[in-house]
Amino acid sequence: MTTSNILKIHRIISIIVRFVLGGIFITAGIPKILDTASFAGAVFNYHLLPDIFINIFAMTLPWLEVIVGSFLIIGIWMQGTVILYNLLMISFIAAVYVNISRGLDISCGCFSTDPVEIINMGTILRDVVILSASIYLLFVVFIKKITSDTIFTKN
Amino acid sequence: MKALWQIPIILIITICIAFGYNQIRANTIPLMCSWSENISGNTFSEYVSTISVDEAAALLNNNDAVFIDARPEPFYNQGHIQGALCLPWHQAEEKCFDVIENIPPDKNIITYCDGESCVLSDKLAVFLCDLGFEQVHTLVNGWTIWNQNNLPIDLPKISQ
Repeated sequence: MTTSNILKIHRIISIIVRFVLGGIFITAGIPKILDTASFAGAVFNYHLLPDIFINIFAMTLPWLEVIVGSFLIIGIWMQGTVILYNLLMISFIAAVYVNISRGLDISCGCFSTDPVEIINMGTILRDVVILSASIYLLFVVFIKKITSDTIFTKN
Repeated sequence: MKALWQIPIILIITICIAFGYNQIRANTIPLMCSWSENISGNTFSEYVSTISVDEAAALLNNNDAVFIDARPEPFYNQGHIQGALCLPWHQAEEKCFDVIENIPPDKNIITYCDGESCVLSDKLAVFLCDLGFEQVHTLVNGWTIWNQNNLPIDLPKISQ
């Protein structure tokens, strides 16, 4: 297989991965934007932030997810977008792991404000899979030869 | 590296949109809120108290209490305190009357969930007090404590 073919395959895979990961963040963010109060309750139940930061965090994080997800799909500012995506995923995994270790029976708050969405090792496994894909995008973006073209602009 | 300016700009855009949207939305939330005080302040009425696992076990032995599991139903189905009723907090309004219709208002009720900082049992206890029950108690971290003390539980039947 020639180098150009390998680059083409990576380009196609990276576009698919961008759309999937971007879609995941947008899907995760919108319910939390629509019901910020319930999401703030989920953030409180994690017991990781001081009270004064909970509402600000609950207001801001869903929008960050939607914006990062959108930028990822469109292909805007890919370096910053992909780094933020990875940082967010690492934060989510760490937060879930800390509370599983504490034995807390809490709602994940990952994709909805539904209290039935309880955290467990499956949550971490799911997030690790997403993180793996985002690390792949990190690799793609910072090795310019296989950076995929964007829909509207070139990076 | 472009990320050095891209990341701060993305964060600034996010904060502006988030705060702006919060101001114009119908159900605006305050920027700061004393969550811990609000939870503890609104949780307990004068009729709600915590109960120790030994006292709860004694009441179970004497059939002097009704246990109500405040956890989501899937967790109840995996195992619960012997004889406990299932009334998940997030479904309390829909299901309460089916669950509590035969419970006298002066009967001891013990709500429980799981986890030291789980507030489901507290919220359910206050809810039941508001319905008129006079002797409502919460067993903090009930499911874990109950199992640690090897007290009677109901487990799902394994189909053959």
